[in-house]
Amino acid sequence: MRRAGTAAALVAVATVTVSTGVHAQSGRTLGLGVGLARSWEEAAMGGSVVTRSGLLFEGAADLRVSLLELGLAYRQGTLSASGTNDQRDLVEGQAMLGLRLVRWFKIEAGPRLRAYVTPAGTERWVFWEGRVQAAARVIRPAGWAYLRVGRVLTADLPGLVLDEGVGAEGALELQLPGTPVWGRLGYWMHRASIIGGQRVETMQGVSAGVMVGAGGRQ
Amino acid sequence: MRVVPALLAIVGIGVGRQAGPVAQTTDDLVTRAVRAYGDVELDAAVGYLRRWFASDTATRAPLDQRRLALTYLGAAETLRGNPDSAASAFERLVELDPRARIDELTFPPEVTTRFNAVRARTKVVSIDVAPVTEIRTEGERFVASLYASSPHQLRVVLRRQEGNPVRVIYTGLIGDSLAVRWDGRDSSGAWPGPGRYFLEAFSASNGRGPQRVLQVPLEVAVDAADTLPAPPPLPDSLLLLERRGAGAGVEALLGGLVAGLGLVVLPPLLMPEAEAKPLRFAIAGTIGLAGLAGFLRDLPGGTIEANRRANDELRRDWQARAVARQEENRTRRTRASIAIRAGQPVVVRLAAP
Repeated sequence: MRRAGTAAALVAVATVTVSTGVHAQSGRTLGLGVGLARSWEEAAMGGSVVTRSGLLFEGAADLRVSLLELGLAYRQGTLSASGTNDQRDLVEGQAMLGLRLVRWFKIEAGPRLRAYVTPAGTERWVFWEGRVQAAARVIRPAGWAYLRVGRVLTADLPGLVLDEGVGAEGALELQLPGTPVWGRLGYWMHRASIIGGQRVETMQGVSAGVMVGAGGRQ
Repeated sequence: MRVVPALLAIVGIGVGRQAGPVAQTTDDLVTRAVRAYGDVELDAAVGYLRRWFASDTATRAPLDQRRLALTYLGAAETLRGNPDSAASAFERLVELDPRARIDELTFPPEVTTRFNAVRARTKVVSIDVAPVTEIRTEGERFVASLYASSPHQLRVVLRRQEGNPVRVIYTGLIGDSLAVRWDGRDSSGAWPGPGRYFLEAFSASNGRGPQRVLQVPLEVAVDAADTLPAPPPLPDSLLLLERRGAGAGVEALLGGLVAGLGLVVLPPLLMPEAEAKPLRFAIAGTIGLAGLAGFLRDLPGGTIEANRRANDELRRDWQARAVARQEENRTRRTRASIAIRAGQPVVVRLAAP
């Protein structure tokens, strides 16, 4: 019921925003980027907490056609617990289909696929998320800050039941003057509470990267 | 049927024979009057002259003959002791020809004295203009030479036949003579357009209103290419905003603050059990500072240089177009010509104010 309520809330936000009659964005843009993220993972289960950290490779692509945006993101790397041999590989991919209703506001939804690879086996999770994003041009002509907040609408965790999943992300993107190259500096986090809170997986990271955009980024 | 044309021919010859002696008699009246004056038959002289003036011949007579007749009429009336009739004749003489003078060798002093008195108080001008004047270049003028009966105030204006004034050509004193010039333009400097006009010279004595007006009908024909209208003013919609509004700066400041604060506040709310990482605050601070920098750069009221330069370029283009248009119109005006045909002048007495 809670997830259905969240979905209804997102639809309501979209409806209200469309009904305000704000101007539509036009044109096409394409962006491709790579980066590195210093990441931290905390896995709490039954009172014990394991903290791992590591450097993740990031790749991203986004395509905007008129109001619609398709965003793809990929992270991969090894997260290790300090002082022990405990480590696991993380592979995560996202595909978000968004609707940019106004220049500064976008809603999007799509799957987040996450795989934990350990010697014992691979654990694959699928989160279906909805997110809203607000952006502002902080430096003219091309410097944008944005804040993104999301919630897991439903999930497919083999053998597990998701209680709640939330995420947030903020970044600053600046275009190198006279070039299609953008620099990006951001922070992201994701939390999944599973089995009545007996298991909580939190991830956060600070990322830096570059993107090459055709037709602008916003 | 051949009898009728023959009868008509006979009647025509008869009428022709009758008309000859009548015209000759009327023309001889002035000669007879002069002779009668010389014989001191003043009543006869006045009688001949009044008969002559009552005939159609007088209105068609040349200026010299009318001048002669009025001179002898005024002289005879003076010598007959009719000062009012004499003054009336001399006044008509002055109106007919303001430059007329009486020969002091032919007429006695009382006649010349009376004439000079009438001439001094009768304010009127005559005009001498070319039958056709063409103005082709900027420097050419329509010239009218005015001759005054005696010094007086003069106002020369041009008006349309319907009455609309076109231009005041001269206002001031006229002594003996005066040449007034008209460049063919109205008071705004434009061609007045083809049509019928009147050149009017209002004569007034000092301290009194105009006594008489000399009217000359003018037929004006203009051969000119139309001038082009001035380019319309630059519409505001084409100009970019030169001063920043509050929008851009406020967006930068609020956007940076909200995004930065969001990164500070949201993680503890969404994942309270996670450890706070200092790098997160560094990112949040960077975003906030970027917003502040954007706000300071886009301070409300600041000049948007790119827009100002673009607007200046637009204004320069418009100015260049306007100057080019003026130059084109100037060229067209110099290529234009105007032809002015002058008619017969008429003196009209005006009612006393």
